[in-house]
Amino acid sequence: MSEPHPGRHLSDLEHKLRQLAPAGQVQRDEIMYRAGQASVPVEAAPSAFNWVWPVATVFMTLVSVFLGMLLVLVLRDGGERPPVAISQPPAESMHPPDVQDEPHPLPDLQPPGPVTEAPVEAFPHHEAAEYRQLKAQALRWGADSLPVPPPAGGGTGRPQSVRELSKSLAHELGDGP
Amino acid sequence: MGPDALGQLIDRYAPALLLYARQWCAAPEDVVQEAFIKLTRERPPPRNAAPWLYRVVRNGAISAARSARRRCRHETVAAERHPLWFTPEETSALDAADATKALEGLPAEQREVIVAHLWGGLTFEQIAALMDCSSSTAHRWYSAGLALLRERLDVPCPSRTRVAT
Repeated sequence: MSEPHPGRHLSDLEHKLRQLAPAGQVQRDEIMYRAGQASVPVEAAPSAFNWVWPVATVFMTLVSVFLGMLLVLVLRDGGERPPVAISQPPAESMHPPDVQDEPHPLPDLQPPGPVTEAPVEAFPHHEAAEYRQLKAQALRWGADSLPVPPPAGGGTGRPQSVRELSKSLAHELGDGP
Repeated sequence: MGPDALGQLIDRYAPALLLYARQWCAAPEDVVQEAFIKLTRERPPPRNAAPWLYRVVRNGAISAARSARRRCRHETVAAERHPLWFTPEETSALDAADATKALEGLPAEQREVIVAHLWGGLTFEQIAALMDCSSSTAHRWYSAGLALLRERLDVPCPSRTRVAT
């Protein structure tokens, strides 16, 4: 313990008091150990390179955001693609063709009566489709595959009354008039 | 600060710092230990370590005493045990218990000056800076405290003894 006042003589009481040793003891080894830990600076890594990781992180974040926006824009513009050129069938095929142009006339399709002079354009749409179906069927399987046309007389083939029904039945059974 | 310098500081100032901190708190060891560890963290280290240590210990001890006062009755009971401030030794001229009692009975500022000057080795200028007073005031407190101790410890005054004889 150092002398408080080197040039001053301590009194008797001061001498006696200074002989008393303060009680208690600090853990010297523990202090040295913890002081060693505390003396190590927290930023052990060289501070010159501390900016590398933050800058790289910010850069990669910006790149990710840019690519994400680009992807969103591309997907959004995908609905407005230019129309794809598809070879369409000629306009004549959409309408019933002229009967005279057909290389293979379908005689069975025509009713036995006088040929109707109805223009092709006047056919309803479903009739045109039926015509195309019949045409394809005839080209593929021949004329025999076509359905039998309704009987002559312009009727629909169905008896319109009880009398006609009995007459047709009798005709079929062979006991006709 | 190197380990050798720290070890020298501990050996030289730790006992007096313990006595200094014991004026306020019941567990001065923790306060003193934290003060030394705080010293190693100082960048740059203080030019004069002793006054710096005393200031840190003083603040820490007062803060610890304030915290202990807020705590429960257990702390109050523990504080009432009055542990001795000095180690009893056969060779000492004064009894440790009597010295503790006499020192505890002094006014706080007189006791603080006596402990810091007599056991801590601080000059009156350093004590004045520590206690925010003038050095003459610190010296006056020191003299008054010594007179009270002399009276309570029944140590005769040399001058009066001389006059009496």
